[in-house]
Order: sequence, then structure tokens, then C-alpha cells
Amino acid sequence: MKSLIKIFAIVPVALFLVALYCIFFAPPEPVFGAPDKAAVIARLNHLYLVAAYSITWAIQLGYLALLGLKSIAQKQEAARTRRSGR
Amino acid sequence: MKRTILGLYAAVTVALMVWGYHQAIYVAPEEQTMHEVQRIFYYHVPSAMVAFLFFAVSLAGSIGYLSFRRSNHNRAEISDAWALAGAEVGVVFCTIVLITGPLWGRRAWGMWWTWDARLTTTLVLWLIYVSYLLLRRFAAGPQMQTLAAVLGIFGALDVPIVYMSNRWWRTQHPAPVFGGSGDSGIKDPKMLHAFFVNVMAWLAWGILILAIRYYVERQQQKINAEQAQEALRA
Repeated sequence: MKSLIKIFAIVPVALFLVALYCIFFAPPEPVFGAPDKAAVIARLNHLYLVAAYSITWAIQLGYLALLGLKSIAQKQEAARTRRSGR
Repeated sequence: MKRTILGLYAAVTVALMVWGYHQAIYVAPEEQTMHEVQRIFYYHVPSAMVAFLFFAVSLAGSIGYLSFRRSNHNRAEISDAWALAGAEVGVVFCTIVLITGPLWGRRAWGMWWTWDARLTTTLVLWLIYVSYLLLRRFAAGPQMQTLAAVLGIFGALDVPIVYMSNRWWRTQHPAPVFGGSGDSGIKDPKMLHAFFVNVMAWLAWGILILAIRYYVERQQQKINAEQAQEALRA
């Protein structure tokens, strides 16, 4: 179960990297009167949209994975406490 | 039985999320001035609404803890678990709001951040609840839960200020979606539909995460109680 959650935790990391790529490797703002200005603006808008959606899911799934790991650690701690009680 | 209900609820939530994504990306028409980047709105606004709701849950939990802490220990612990779960999941959603907002702002305004009333009060709200979580993480002793409950109540006072900020003051942030002036809000029915589907989807997802966080906290409380009993016996 723990290894499954760890594999699952790769997804938010990958989404986070996608978001960073979209922001930091986006083309520069087109200068006034550039021939392909509309195409560059459309590409920039698309990249920022992808970044926003990716980062949202990166945070949500990352938090879910964290809760899963915490729950597993708790079960182990509870078992240890019960063993030491006997 | 509980597992079946949880599984069913999770399946409905995932279906709603997929439907919401489809509505936001493929069905809702493109906004005329902001174009594709306006679609960030379908994740940004529902996240803010869910964050506000969960800070209200934290407020109710904090009030409950302060009410029951001397009279009913079990109820006080339950209230405290709700207060912590509400604050933590609220911070997760508020973080998303504070990241997706500047991403939209960079394209729409040409800048990541401006110190206008809506943005600043939202940042203050986030900082208050982060300090609440830090207090719970690092403070020790019997007074910690009481201090956290008081901070939780004060933090929740910022929620109505954030909500009213772009009504009370002139802000760069767009006009309110609901309850604003006559020309504000969504006019296109397809956009409105996509927005409501996403609100439902994020609310369902948020409730699922909140329930898991509450369960984890209750388990922790039980472990702590067992360990305290064990220490007394030793």
C-alpha cells in the first residue's frame, strides 16, 4: 500500500514540473506590430492555462498522497503501541 | 458498509471532476477579451468558495471546542478535529487560489501581483491559517488547543472582509460573480453551467478530502490517548 501511494505521489510531482515548464519556458511577450503576435499570445494563454490546471491537481493529489502516508504511519504507530501495551 | 459508501462517493466525485473539466475546456465558450486564459476562472473561483466554506467549518469547530472543553471531553475532541481539518483543507484550497490568480493576472493584467484589497486580504487570510497550522504543529502543552481555537475564530473574521473587499473598495480584481452590480457576473448560460458544474465538483472533492483529514486526526487523537494511558500504567 505504501509503495502504491509512493508511485501515486509521482503524479503531483510530474504535474508540478509541467506547470514550471509552461511558465519558465514560455515564449517571450511579442513586441508591438510583430507579424505572429496573435499566435504567440494564444500560445502563451494556453501555456498559462495548462500551468494553472496542472498546479491545482499537483497540490490536491500531493495533499491526498500525504494524507495516505500519514494514515499508514498512524496504523503502524497504533500497532506498536498495542504491542508494547501487552 | 462505510467503505462502500466512501467508494461510491469517491466515484461520483471523480465523475463530477471529469465532467467539470470537460465543461470548462470544451463546452464553455471562449471569453472575447481574455480568450483561453479566462478558463482558469473555472478552477480559481470554486476553490475560493470551498476555502471559505472550510474556514467556516474550522470556525464552528473552534467554537465547539471552546464550548465543550470543560464539560464534554469527547465532543471537545471531535470539535477540535473538525477545526483542524477545516483549517488545513481550507489552506490547501486557498493556496490554489493564490497561485492560479497570479497566473491569470500575468496574462490579463501583465503582472503577477498587485497590492489591491482583494488580493491582500486573501493573502492575510492564508497567512493567518498557516500560522494556525504552525501553532498546532510546534506548540505543546494543554493550552495549545485553546490558543488554536481562539486563533481559528479570529482568522475566520477575515473571510467576510475578503468576500466584501471588492464591493467596499475600488480594486483591480474583477467584479464579483454573484451579488455585484448589474453589469458584473457571468452572462453566457454555457459559461454559467460550466461554472456551477465545477463548483459542485470541487465541493464534492473538498468534502472527500475534509472527511479523510478528519478521520486521520481522530485516529491520531485515539493513538495519543492510548499512549497517555500506557505512560500512566508504566
